[in-house]
Amino acid sequence: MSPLLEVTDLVVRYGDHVAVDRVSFTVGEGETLALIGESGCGKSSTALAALALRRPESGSVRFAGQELTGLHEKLLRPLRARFQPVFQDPYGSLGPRTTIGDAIAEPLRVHRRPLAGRVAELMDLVGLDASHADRLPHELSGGQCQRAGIARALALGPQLLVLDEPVSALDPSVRAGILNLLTELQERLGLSYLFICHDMALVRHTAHRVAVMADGRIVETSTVRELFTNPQHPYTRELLDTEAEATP
Amino acid sequence: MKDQLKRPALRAGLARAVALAAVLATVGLLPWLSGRDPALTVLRARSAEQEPTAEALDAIRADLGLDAGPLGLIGDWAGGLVRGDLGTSWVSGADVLPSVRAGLGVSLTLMGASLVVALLVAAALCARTLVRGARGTLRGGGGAAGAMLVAIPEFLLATVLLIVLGVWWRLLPVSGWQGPEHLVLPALAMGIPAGGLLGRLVDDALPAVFRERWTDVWRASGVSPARIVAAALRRALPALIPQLGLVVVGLTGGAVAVETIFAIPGLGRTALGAAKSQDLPLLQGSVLALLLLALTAGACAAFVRGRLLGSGLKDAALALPPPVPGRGRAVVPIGLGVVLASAIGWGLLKDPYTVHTGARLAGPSLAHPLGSDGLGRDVLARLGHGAASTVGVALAVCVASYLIALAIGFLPNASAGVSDIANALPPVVVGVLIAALTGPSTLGASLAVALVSWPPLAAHAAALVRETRASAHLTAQRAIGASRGWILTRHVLPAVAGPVARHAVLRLPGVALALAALGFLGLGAQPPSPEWGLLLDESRLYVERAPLAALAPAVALALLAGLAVTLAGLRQRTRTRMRTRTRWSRAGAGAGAGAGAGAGADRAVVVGVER
Repeated sequence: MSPLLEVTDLVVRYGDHVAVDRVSFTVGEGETLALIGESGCGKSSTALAALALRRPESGSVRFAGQELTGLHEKLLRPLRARFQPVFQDPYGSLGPRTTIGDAIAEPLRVHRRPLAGRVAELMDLVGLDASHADRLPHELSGGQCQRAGIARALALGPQLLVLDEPVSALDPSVRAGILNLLTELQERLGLSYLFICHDMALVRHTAHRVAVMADGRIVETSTVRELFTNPQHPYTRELLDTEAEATP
Repeated sequence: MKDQLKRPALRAGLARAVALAAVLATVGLLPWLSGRDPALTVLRARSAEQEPTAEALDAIRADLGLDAGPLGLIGDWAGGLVRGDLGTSWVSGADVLPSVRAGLGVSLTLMGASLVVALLVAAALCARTLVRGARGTLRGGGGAAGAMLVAIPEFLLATVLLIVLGVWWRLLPVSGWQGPEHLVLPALAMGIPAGGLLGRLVDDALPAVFRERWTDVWRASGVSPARIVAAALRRALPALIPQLGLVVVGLTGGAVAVETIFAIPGLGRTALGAAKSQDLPLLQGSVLALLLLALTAGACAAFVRGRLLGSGLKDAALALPPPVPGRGRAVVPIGLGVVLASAIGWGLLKDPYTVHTGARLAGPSLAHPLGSDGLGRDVLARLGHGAASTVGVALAVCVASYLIALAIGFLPNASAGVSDIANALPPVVVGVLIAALTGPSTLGASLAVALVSWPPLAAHAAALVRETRASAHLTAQRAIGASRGWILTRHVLPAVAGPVARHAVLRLPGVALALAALGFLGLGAQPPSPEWGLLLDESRLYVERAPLAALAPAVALALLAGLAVTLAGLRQRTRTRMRTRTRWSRAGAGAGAGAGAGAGADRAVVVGVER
């Protein structure tokens, strides 16, 4: 069976700077692939290119067998319903003047899907109280905002979520709640995740496979168990060591 | 990335060059566009005795090169420009370049001094907000002091300063350009209103910044108030820098009246004089200098703004501030509105044209509540009837400018060039050009003000559009597959329309003032029409004997300004889409109530949600 998301030889450049250098990976159905690396290593650029939000210099991004690079935005739009992002900054990614309920309903309106009961259902699904629907983002906590962001991403019934550091901006007590929610949603809806983060500790319990990224390249890809017991690349070992120091 | 940066800059540069050429060509074509022959004017200017015979006029036409036709004249001028030769004045026969250079030097000095005054005034106006914001005790926003300063017409302030400090107290010289002491009065007259506007804009932007989370974080971690203030200013300034550029340019425009009143040989007065005497080479030279000055100011503003925003603008990584709940006390604007409306209404009941030679310059009485003017006409009646031509026309101009600004704001690169050019032309100079084309009239004056009043709004709109487009949540919009039209109408437009509308309301007194200034200089409404600028001009002559006649239109303008500012500060609607919100609310509640409920049930749910 072919993977849901297949990225091959992806190159993203900002002027003379090569942010992503011939990166290849796949995400299977119902699978979580963690893309890990320190900030500035090209993770987020990879995510944007995988979401067809940034045109790559070269390489291919295939979603369910369909090539996305070079596809006209008009043809991309119906496909976008099937892969959705969750961003790092829960406040920044929701419009400051749009209520939570409107923000969750917006994808449905954009794609002219029926709304009836859907917003309340989605809010319930991510554990948000229905009374929060007419609040503005800055009136909610970071965790609640991130739940709203997840509800919005789920509105169109996607198969893949690209989670770009979804819990990095949250404090540790809220973090666990969001991670549990994501795991639970994956089991219930059979979602695939491309989980981008810089924290080895998060990867251990949430991911199936891990790709380690450094300086725009993927230096190692393996299963979680293998990575933690038998890291191959020196950079991976370094990451694991810092994590061991941080969590005594 | 370098290419991405260069291309818009190139386009903006091109737009500026094209607009510059278009304006200069218009000036060059003026005699043919207006259908009036400059030969006669030039003949009169050169010698009063000579008869305007056909031969004499032909000789002058040949001398000026007018017989070569419009294209030949423009071609000659452009050729000279390349060689650094701006031609010779038709009236005085002197070289244009030295007079333009001298005027530019004077104007730059005056602008610099006025800018210092403006910055001091602006700093004084925002001090309270800054201090309270840094301490975390900010409630509400700035008062109406700034608005009142903006509302003082430069020409009126200049007159008052001249009378009080120059004539009564003899502290400072009242005319000429000989030393630094000659700089004080004009700089105060120009700098105080400009500082009022700047301070008002900064003071308006600061509360939103102080509501951002980082200020709490900084305060909690013991960062000094001074550093918080510096950071808050740095956060608020990028959106306002273009306004600063426009204020700098606008100072040259405001200078025309001030330079005239104080008899200062600046660029504005040179252009005004040249236009009045149809001295085309001198007009072209001074307009070129004015435009170059404006383009430089605009380019500097764009550069500084780019440096302040840094790479956040390109990477779509800016977080937008949440909407600021207004300081909604409707009492003040309603009160001001009632006072203004009842004065105007009362005046409308009286006759503004009846001359009572027996009751000249009378004090207030029951028959004439505000006294009478130099011809014995009722001041209140003239004020009331003048409101229609001043406030009504200003309102229409503001609405038109707002719509133009929104349309142009979405094309930031084109707008930068066009609006720099439009703003480089002071309303007075545009008024002169239009008066030269159509003759002085209310319509001409309003057209002139409309032509130059949209650029500040367009610059504001363009800055907001850029910042909104660069925000992270628009990336999220694209990710859900929203089309450009959807993003524009649902997210960018609401973020831009509100603030620019408040700005437009804030500009209403300024537009009324520009109209009044044109009337004051005799370029707009003509006597005996009771236009407010004309009222000020007429009453200026006897301000010592009948101060009420001069005070009434000035107070009316100040009331208008207070009304505009308090209106603009009213609570804005924070939730942008009320109608659609009720739709899903109903669906959410529909689980219990039945989704197909009738209209009555809908209403009930709406009420429940709105509560």
